[in-house]
Amino acid sequence: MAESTNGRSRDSQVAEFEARIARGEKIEPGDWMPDDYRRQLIRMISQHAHSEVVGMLPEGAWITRAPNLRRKMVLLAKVQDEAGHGEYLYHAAETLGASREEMIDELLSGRAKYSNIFNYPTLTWADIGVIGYFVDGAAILNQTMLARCSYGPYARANLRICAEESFHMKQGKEMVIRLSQGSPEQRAMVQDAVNRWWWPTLMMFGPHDADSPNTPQLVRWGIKTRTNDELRQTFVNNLVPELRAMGLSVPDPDLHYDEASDNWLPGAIDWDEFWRVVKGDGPVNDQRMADRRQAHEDGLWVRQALRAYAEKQAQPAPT
Amino acid sequence: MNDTQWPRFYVFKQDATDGPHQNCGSIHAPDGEMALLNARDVFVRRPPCVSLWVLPADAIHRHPPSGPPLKDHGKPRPRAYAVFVKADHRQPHHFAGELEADTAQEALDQAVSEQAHSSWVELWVAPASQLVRSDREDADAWFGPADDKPYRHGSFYHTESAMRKLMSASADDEA
Repeated sequence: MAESTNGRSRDSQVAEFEARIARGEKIEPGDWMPDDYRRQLIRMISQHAHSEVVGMLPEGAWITRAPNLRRKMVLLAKVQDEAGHGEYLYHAAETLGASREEMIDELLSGRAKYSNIFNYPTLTWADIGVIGYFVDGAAILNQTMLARCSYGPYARANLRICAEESFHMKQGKEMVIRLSQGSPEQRAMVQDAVNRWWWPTLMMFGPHDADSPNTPQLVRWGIKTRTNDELRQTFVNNLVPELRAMGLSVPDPDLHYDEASDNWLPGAIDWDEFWRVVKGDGPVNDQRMADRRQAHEDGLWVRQALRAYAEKQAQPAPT
Repeated sequence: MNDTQWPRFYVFKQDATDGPHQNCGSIHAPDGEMALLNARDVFVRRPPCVSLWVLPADAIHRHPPSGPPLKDHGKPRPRAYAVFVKADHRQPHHFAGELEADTAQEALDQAVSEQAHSSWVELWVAPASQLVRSDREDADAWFGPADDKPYRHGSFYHTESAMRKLMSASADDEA
């Protein structure tokens, strides 16, 4: 049995740590934690941060093409929020000892993962509505769970994110409602967007529970409190009646209501597509990374100028 | 391209003039002036905020200490130190006032004895001169714009009532 520096056994430290989590206490940056807890959190939080940052790209592409000033201001505010959410999350990962430099390097070099959903293109204006309604709706379910997670800084970051994202989901839902009640062209456009985004959104919740080897450990450590399949089912149950009320169809011939469980049960998810896109072969993976690197390079002169200014200000004034 | 690791600054936000400045996160910037601007954009896209401070992370001395003790800020001489208290595990650090001391260690000892009557989990002290603060006179220009963006709030969108209408209409159709 390995002895820790303060003489207590590692097993008893783990037992005490898990007892704290069982009591609902928050783990804070200076507290003892198992290496694996730290590693899993850094992985999850940095991926979450990267997702916020990369998530600006598909929506940012439509800011200049928004159909009116109101929609443009709303979309600008939403994309700006995503940048801020990335900041909250990088900060939370830093409290665990990860450096900003390493995390950004991992993203730009293509080693880091981010949410698979952003490897799909935004082809029409209706996609902006459907992303808010589906993608942000799905993200809110996940983040509402994470706002209760055992690691204090990550829980607080998610709490702040959820409070801000309710507007993201609602502006998208408002657009989808309007388009679904609009002209035949608008209805066709929003139905097409629903058809393209439905399955990738269901995949956002991650593999089935039976194929998620990390989940039981994450649940025991209070990082996750609901499984991928539970969250996915909640999403489907929330969305299907609303889409039907709008006169929109769900692109799933096997979708049916199961009276016994009171659930809308979807058909089989194409996990081959999921893994293909995760591994880099999605419709726009390469473009997303190229855009991200370009943005980083384009910002170089700004970073250099700021540094030069700071160095100059730090020098004593000439007399 | 190793140019993304700027110094870290802790950010303290005051929501009302009679409330405390509370730590709301951190920000990276090449200097305090830029840190304050970045902090406004990251943490005050929505109200409420009446005052914002940033403090370089490497100016903070902690009790209980974590890691090796930091170097002092120049020769020992009387100077003002800002004190921040984390009262319990559920709350962030908040500003608890200033005190005068010759060294950071002395300031920390003094803060510990001043806080002896209350319970807390961590104390920070830092030279008050290291804090960069938003100007009270500029508060409107700095934080006012967040007030007139109602579309940043979920309550601006009447999606729930619109959806209820559609739901009841489609239920009528089916009946």
